[in-house]
Amino acid sequence: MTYLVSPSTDPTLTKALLPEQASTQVSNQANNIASTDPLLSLDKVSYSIEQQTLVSQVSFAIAAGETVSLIGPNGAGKSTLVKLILGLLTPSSGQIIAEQPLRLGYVPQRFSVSPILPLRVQDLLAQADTRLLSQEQQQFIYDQLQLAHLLSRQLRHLSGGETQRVLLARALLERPNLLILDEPMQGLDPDSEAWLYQFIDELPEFLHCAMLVVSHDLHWVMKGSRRVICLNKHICCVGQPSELVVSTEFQKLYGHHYEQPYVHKPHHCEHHAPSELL
Amino acid sequence: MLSWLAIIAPAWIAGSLLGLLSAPLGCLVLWRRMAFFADALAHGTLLGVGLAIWWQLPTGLGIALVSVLVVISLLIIEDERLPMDAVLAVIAVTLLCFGLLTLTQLTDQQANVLGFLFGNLLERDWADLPMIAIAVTVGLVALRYIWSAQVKLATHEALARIQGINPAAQKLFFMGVLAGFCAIALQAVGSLLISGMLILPALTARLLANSPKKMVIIALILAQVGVTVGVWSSVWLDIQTGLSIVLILAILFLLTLIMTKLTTKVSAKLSHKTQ
Repeated sequence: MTYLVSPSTDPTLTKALLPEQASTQVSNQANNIASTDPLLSLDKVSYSIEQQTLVSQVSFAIAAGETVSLIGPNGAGKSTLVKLILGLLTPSSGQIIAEQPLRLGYVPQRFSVSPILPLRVQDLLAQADTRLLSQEQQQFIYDQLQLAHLLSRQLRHLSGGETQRVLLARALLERPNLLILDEPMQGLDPDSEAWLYQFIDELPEFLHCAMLVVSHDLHWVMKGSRRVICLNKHICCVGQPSELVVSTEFQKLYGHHYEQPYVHKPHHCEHHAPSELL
Repeated sequence: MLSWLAIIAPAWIAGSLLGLLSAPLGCLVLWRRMAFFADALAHGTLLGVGLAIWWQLPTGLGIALVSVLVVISLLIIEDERLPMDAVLAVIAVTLLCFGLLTLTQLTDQQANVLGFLFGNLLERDWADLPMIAIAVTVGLVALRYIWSAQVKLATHEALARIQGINPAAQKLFFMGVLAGFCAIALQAVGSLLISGMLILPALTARLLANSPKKMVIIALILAQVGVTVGVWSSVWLDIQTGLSIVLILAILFLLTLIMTKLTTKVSAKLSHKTQ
């Protein structure tokens, strides 16, 4: 089974489908061309539950159009931080400020539909609020993600890669200005991974949005992100990939050579509940 | 035949109206995994009726009070060590016991207990129909209002919440519609069988449907078949209407299950042969 699909970069096709964007269409290096306008700011955000601190004093901002990668070992609080940003959890202290009206897109780490709900792909996609996209733009997403033959399939019968494509389409159909991908490569075979990376790298201009990608794949993180945040409940280090690899904290977690297979090296930090810090 | 029809018609129409609400509501109950909650509410209607008679309140108010009691009990008992289905089963039987106790000891309704437990739709007359029609219409309008949000929540709660849907408010609203249905279905199929009328058409429809919309349409048809055959057979066999409706729905479920399993096996064998 392979469904390696290369996102179209044919300018004629893009022009035909997206006349209003044709003049601004670029062969997209755009994922790393960020505006300086902040989209979202986190200010000393902490989250504790049952005396256990899951996220401690996290501060950073995401600019419009910027791709930020969030890395960290298992249990580092990455998914908790994502839930805080999505508004699914409320910070114990600190604040998350939307500097501009946020339209969030989210591709969850795990997705399964109960068998009692006979949901087809088209039923899931119909749940997206597509008001901000024209019919042509919606069709462009369907074409790029090769969804036509999946539409009448039951969601629970899709493979991991197909599910990711459908979830990505659902998120993009709402034209988000911040797309959050929570470990999007989990459970994918290498071909699907390669396809998804390329798709993310080459998102067309009209879908261009800031992205927060939670990933364990350091190769892609180092190649595809403008900025990397390394989390281990608190922010251990943050910066451009070239700065990160020489950081002591990063090396403590991932070793000197990040090209080596991912190995988690236990890293001890003292974490305090927010109340203890006051 | 015509004289029979005149006697049966109000019950038949009342049952059909209930079926219009029970089918989509039952689908949502299954999708939101609230079958046990629906059962607890249904069992609680008996206590609601008992309290209403004892305190001389409108029946609907008694049932509403018990529904609120169920929700409060759930909030109090909620504990991650206790599985929710077990908690709801305990609430259901406790409410049933209190309901029977109230009806038999505190009111003069001992003779009608069987009717409350298993329903007696044939006692409905033409004068009852406008009220049932209004209640069903209100229920359907309320369902229409929450439908999209409920389906999104059933699909993936986090994605639904990002779209601005409030799960707690939606759950409360849904519980309200469910409690309303229990109140009007009590006289049709009785406290013990309400959940059967609610869940069986939707469960059977799931075996045949490949989309949420089709599931609702098939459940609507099955509910109407169940009510029609159930009402007529209850007259011919001289049994409780609720019993006959739920039995017909259960038979339809079993037949559909056997049919779909056989069809799957036969088509698997045929495709194996052609390969």
